[in-house]
Amino acid sequence: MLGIFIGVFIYEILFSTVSAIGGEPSVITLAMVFNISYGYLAIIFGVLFIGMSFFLSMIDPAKKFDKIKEEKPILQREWGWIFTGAIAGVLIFVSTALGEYLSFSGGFLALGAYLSSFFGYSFTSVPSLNESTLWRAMLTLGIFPGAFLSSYLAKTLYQERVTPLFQEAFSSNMAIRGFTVFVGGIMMGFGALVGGGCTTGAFMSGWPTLSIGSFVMGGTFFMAAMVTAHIMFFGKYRLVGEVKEKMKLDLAND
Amino acid sequence: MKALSGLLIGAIFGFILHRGGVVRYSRIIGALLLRDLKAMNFMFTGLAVAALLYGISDLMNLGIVPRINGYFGTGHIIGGILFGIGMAVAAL
Repeated sequence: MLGIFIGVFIYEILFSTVSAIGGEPSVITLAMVFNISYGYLAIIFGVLFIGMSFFLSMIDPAKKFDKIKEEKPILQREWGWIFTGAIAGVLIFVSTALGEYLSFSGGFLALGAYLSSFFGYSFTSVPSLNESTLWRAMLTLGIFPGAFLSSYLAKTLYQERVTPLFQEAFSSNMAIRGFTVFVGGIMMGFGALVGGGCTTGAFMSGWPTLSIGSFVMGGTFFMAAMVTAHIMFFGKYRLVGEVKEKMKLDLAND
Repeated sequence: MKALSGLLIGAIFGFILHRGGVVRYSRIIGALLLRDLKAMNFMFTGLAVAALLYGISDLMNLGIVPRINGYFGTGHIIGGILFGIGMAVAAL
């Protein structure tokens, strides 16, 4: 959290330099490249990705570990990806219908701008505080009570502080885990603002618009994340399955 | 009023992210190592549903047009690499 805000502030301080990278943004989508109707292409795209989800779910190597905990009451267990994914998709659409855009990197920036305005500092990267920036700031603020409520209902508020897979692979020291989240948070906050979006803004909200910028950003950060994860877990890939099996990982302990 | 809708959408989104297990360390790292694909399926389904709804509303001329993120070349690559490394390190 703090890390993300520091990332946001670094972006704000470096705004004039950073915004010059790559020059003026140009609005270009896949539909424009192929010169066909956006509507048809979006539907083809949607069907393709739903098909891909079902295919991936069939070959998912971790699926067998999820069967065990079905007996918990509905408010305590984890929900499936079809239902939760579909709700996320509807929320993205509803946000657009309201004239806004569901994204959290922009949201953190707006929230940062609001918080700092209380101390008399105004962001140069957020020229004016209006209805739209307020909406994004509130969106970001909403995440916390929402996730808290889910965690409260699942009775997972007092779970282990360092997640078991991290303990097994690296260290059980809270300070080390905290440090990785902090540094990772700074890089994510800053990187998302420079690159034009986070996992939600550039990927989940950006790809359905068929924006070329979001494709490039989403593709780049997933590649970078996969390479980094493979370097971090080099020689320890089996741990993911082993720890899941041994500890019976679920919402409560992961 | 509108700000409240933002708060509500954010809260539902936060609830769903936690409840879908997409915030779990083993799910994020698992997705990046291709050992646990649930987070991947969640994101693909979300963006597919949004794409279908956009597509349908476009064909029906409902006037709901998504904002397009601009393309600005190298910025995406630099930001993407930073964000990607951060994503794997923090697993958020």
